[in-house]
Amino acid sequence: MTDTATTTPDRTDARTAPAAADPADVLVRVRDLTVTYRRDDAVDTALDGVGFDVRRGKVTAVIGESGSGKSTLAHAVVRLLPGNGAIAAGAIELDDEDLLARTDREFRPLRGRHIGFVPQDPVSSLNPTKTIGAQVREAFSLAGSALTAEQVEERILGDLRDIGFAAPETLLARYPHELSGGMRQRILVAIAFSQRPRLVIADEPTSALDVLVGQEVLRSLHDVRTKHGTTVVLITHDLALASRNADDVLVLEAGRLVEAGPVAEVFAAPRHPYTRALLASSARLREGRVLSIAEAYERHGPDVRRAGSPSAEAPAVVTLDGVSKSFGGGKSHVRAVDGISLAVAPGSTFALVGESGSGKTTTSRLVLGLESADAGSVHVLGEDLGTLDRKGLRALRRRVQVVYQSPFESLNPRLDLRSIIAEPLDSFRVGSRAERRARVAELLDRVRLPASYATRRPQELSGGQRQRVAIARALAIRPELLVLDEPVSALDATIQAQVLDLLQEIQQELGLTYFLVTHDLAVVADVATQVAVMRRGRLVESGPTADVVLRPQDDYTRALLAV
Amino acid sequence: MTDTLIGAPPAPPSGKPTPTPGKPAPRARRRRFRELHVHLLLLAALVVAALLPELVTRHDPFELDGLPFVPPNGEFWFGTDEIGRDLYSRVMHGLQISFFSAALAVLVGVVLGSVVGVLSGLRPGGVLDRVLGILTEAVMAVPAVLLALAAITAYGRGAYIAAIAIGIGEATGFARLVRGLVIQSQTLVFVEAARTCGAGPLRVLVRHVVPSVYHPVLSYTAMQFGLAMLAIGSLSYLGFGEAPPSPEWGVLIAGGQKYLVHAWWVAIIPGLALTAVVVLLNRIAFLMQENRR
Repeated sequence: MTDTATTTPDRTDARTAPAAADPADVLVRVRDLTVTYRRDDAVDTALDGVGFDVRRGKVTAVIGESGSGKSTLAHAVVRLLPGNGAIAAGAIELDDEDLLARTDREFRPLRGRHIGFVPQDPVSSLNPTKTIGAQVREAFSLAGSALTAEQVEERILGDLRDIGFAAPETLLARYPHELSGGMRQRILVAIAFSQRPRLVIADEPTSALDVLVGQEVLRSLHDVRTKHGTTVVLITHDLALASRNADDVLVLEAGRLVEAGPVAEVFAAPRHPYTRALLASSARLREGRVLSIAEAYERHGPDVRRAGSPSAEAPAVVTLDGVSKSFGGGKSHVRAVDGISLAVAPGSTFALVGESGSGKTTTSRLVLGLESADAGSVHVLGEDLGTLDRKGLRALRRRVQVVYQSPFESLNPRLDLRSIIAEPLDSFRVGSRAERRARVAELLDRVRLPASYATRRPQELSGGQRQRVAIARALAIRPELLVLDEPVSALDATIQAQVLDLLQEIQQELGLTYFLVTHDLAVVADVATQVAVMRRGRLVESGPTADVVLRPQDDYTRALLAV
Repeated sequence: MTDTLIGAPPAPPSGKPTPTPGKPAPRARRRRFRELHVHLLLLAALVVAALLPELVTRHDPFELDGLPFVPPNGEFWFGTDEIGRDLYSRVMHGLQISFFSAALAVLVGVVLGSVVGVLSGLRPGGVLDRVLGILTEAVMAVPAVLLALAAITAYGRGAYIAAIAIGIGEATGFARLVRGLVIQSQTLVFVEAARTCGAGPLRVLVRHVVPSVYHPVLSYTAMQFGLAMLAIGSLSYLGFGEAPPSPEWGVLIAGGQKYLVHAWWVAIIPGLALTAVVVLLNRIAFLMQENRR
């Protein structure tokens, strides 16, 4: 049993020692905050003796990996912990008022009026059955605003204009589903700021959005914040985002505050080993500064260029020629892929980059033969997928394997790792039982998991370990082409780097060809030899990574690179 | 601005010990598991009694071993009926009929329903799915009891004939459930992953789809089992399933209700037995559902 009182001083960094900050300058003061979750009869400590101050009028970023307690912290402050969560100890003060002294009933008026909240997911956070106008006005009536209806209307229109909507009048009569994710998130930002709260907490406000859209949302958040001088607490896993948007930073690791201070200082000279590891895992942060993707590429690029040496003469592994694919009919008709042509050289890593809805996933499914093209031809390893029968397709599956985005979903939770990894071997009846077992052991070793893991189930593994299992499964029947569908985007930053390294190592060793689908150009800069940028079903640009990253020709590519 | 802004003063010694995170002891969960096991043991005891009622009874269910209307006592645990037969013995022998006819009904329901459900769920919207869907709806439109009455009219009285008809009626529910589960399972990423690994349709079904969907089916089975017992009992009560002197519970209740005022046990005890078994089965269904992660 650990005692918070005795361990707190030991693990907190010098920077988190008693503040010299002017007390009048502090809006939120948190002391020794411990939050626990009841799970059946076990109790998990999500936050363990966390203490910090939030400076008035500044942006404080809370960073940490999944499970570090960032969101718990945000929810504890606004007292929106799930039913099984409880504040076990500590104090939260807002302008020197002890918030924990308030009953739930007394706390309610604070929400909205004094503390605004921007949730993570704009899709589930707006009521689909009510108009935008009704939902923004609701914020006023819930907060018991003293304004008259006309004043409210005027304020709403002003706010929406501030947040970047050119014609807010027409917006109010629309329903959430008529707006894009970015627009919805900006509406939520407008709602959070509508009562001019003292504090706004934004919980991963952009992680459900595409990069470019997320940037726009952050920009408008920044504008409104500056205008009203609001204090903002920004919860994020994205270090580059924190570095660019925050004044102060809190680093959480497994429920403990390991480092805190001004962003520039912490990122330039991290003191805690965990902060250092976190910063090192981000290819984009050096000496406390965010590198552009091009700069990061120049730093890492050379070894990549040496690593992949595709022979130009050899026939391409994947060839798409004028491929189109549509879904739905009538009004819902969508051209997911619209006349795409590309060729992937053997032994190379071909990266298809695009935002959600660009058609990149459909393209990868076409390559895998999970969808068939409406027009054009798809050749994979010399076979024309359009003419292959079921048997031929199955034979091709021996040579093409896939690693899915989420290792939490792609592994059957009911099977042990041995059965999962041996799946392709069992399916194609490769070798004897003993040979398959030996192969599984070899593969586990290859992806650097202990052999004893063979009898474990996926639930016992972390995200990174699960993705290693997925890679081992994909390698089992010695394929020639690996389709990597966002292989690291479900993983934490430190884990991403490890998995990408592993993939590169395996490629060099086995001479595999990678068809990589991703939304993240930073990943591409690290591993790809060829890049194609996709937008609305079309390729806007393609070429060797160096050309695309360093000398982009298309505006859209430039915008993506500027993130 | 000062460079140190964030300060956590040494925490005051808190009286409360910090709970250790991640300890096992999910007691509530274990309790549910234990409860389920106790219920399953009870069910197993019932199955034994249903298989071999002679083991647990001393009297013959058809012999006139005592005086009429003896109230429950040490010799006749449930008393005797209007002509002096041991009611306990009759209830236990009746359990055999009630239990196994209901089991037959559920078996027909599960097998038929699963086959139909899997066939239509594999290609939702396909020709087979549409044909089977229409058939299912047609059967659903006919009340199961009416179906059973028709079967009895055609093939003669008897709990087992009624059971098959009721099973066909129950199959529609199973078909709908299984179809939905199969369709849902098709969207599971690991099912698609298995397919891209080269696994054939049968292998995907047996190894990945069935293990991820059987749980709700099992739980639904337990519930339908209870309902089938009720349905068969009702038919016998109305004079359509078994006929006297059969000790089927519906028959016992129907026979005893004439004497309800001066010999309550003759009707009430078989009624309580039926209620108890149905409650047991529903409880098992509930616990199985709860124990799913």
